[in-house]
Amino acid sequence: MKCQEGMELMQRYVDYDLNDEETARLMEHVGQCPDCAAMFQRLVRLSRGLEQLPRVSPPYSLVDAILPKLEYLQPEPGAEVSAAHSAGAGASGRMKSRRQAGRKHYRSWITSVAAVAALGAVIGLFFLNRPETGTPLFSRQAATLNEAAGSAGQAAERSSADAMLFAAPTIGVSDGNEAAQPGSSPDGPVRGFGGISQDPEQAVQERPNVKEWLNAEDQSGSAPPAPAPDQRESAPGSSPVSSPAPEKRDEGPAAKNPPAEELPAGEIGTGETMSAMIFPDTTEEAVSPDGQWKAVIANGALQLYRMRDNVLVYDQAPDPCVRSGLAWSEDGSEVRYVCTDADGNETPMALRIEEQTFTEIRRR
Amino acid sequence: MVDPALIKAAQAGDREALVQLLREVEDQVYRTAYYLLNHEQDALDAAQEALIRIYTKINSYEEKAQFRTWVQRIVTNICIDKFRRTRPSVSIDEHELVFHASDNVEGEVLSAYAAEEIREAIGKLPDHHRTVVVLRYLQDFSYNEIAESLGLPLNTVKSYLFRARQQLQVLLHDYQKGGVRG
Repeated sequence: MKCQEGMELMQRYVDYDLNDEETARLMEHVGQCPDCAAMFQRLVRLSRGLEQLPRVSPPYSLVDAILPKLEYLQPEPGAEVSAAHSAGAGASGRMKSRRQAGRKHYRSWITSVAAVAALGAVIGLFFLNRPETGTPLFSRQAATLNEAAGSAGQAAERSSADAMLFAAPTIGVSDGNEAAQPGSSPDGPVRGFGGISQDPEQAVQERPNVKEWLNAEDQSGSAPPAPAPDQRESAPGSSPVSSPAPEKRDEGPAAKNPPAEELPAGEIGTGETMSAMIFPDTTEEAVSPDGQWKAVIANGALQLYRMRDNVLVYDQAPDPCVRSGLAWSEDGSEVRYVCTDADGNETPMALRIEEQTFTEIRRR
Repeated sequence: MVDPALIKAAQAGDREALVQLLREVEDQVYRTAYYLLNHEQDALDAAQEALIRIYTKINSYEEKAQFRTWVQRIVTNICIDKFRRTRPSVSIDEHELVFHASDNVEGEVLSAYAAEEIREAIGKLPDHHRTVVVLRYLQDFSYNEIAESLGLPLNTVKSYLFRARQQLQVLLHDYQKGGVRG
C-alpha cells in the first residue's frame, strides 16, 4: 500500500467508514510506516478532540426571543398553495396572518392599497353595520418589528441630525457591530429597538415600555380599564357596559381582532377574504418636523416608524377607535389626531414621544 | 429526531406545532452557528435569523430530504453569508497547510487538544472546510448528510473534510508549539 492510500484510509477510519478488510490493511501499513503511524496517531487524537467539543446551547431560549417577531410573520405558502392562489400568493399570506395572528399588518397593507381598494364597497358596508363595541381602549404596544429589507435604504437616507442624535451603530442589521462596540453607544436605549438580536434582559431594560405594556396587558385581562368618564357622559346613547370585544385581548388571536368576531359565524371559516378586507382602505402618513419619525394611520390604528431604519417602534393594538387627521406638534414631541369611536364620537388624541417611550394620550 | 407528524402539522398551518418544531431544533441550530462563527453574539443573531427563516420557509421543506439536513442547510448558509460580510479578509494560504508527518514527530507531546484551541483552529479554516467539520463533529452527520445539507457531491465533502483535518493538524501543531511554523 502506498502512503497516499494509507492516508485516505486513516481519514475514513476516523469517520468510522472502513470495513474490516480495509481496517486490517490500514493497520498493516501503519505498522510498517513510521510516518503514517505518526500521522495516524495525530489524526485520531484530532478527531477525538473534535468529537469531544462541547455541545453548546444558547444561553437563553432563542425561540422565546423571536416569538414577538414571529407574530408578525407567516410561513410562506408552499408550491401548491401559491399555484392555487396564483393571483396573489403574497396577499393570501397576509390574509392568513391577519386571521391567525390577529395582528394588523399595516406595513404590508400600505404597499397593497390598490388590491384593497377593489373591496372598498364591502368595507363600507361592513362599517355601516358595525355594532357598538364600547369605548376606545387605549393601549399600546412596543413592537419591535424589524425588517432588514427596509432598514438598509432608510439608514442611507438618514439625515445628519439623526446621525447626531443616534450615535449608536445602525441597529437591526446584524453585522456584529453592536457586539463589537459595546461602549461606543451613548444612546444605549436606542439599540433596544433592534429587535431580536440581543440579550432579552438587556432588551427589557432598554425598553421600559415593554414592561409597562406587559403589565397593562395583564391588567386588561382581569380588570378591564374603565371607560373614560367624560366620554360616557358625552355619549348618552351608547352603552358603555357592554363592551366585550376589546377587553378580551388576552384570550387568543381571534379575540385580538374584534371585527373578525363580528362576522357572521358562517363566514369566518371561509371568510379569509372577508376578515382580511374589513378595514377601511385609508392610510395617512406624516413625518415629524425633525424627520425622525413617521406616523402612519392604517385601518384606523396608529403606528410609528423610526425613519432612519424604518423600524416600527409603536404599533397600536386593535381597538374600536378609528384614528384620522394626523398632525405633528411643532417640536415633534407628539403627533395629534382624532379618534372616532363606533358611535361617531370624536376624541382628540395624541401620541407623545418622550425619550424612547410612546404614550397615547387624550388631548384636552 | 424531529417527529415527522410535528413537521406535517406545522406545514398544515398549526402555529403551535411550528413553534414547537423551532424549539426542537434551536440547540442544533445554535451549535452550528456558534462553531461556524466562533463568536457568541454573532451566533445568537445567526441562529435567530435561521429560526425565523425555518418558520417562514417551512412549506418549502420537502420530505425527500431529512429535516435536520434541511435545517442545517439554512443555518450554514446564513453563517457563511455573515462570515463573508464581516470577515472577508480571512483566508489561509493552503500551501502553508500541507502537513509533513515527519515534522518534529519525536519531540511532540501527544497531549489532548484543548477545546478552545480546536475551536480557534476551526475558525481559521476556509468556509466550506469549516462547515464540513462542524456538520461532521457537532451534528454527527454522515458524509451523505453533509452532502445533502450543503448541496455538494459526496467526493467533494470527503475531500473537504480530509483537507480540513489536515489543516487543523497543522494549525493545532503550530498552536502547541506556540508560534507559526517557518
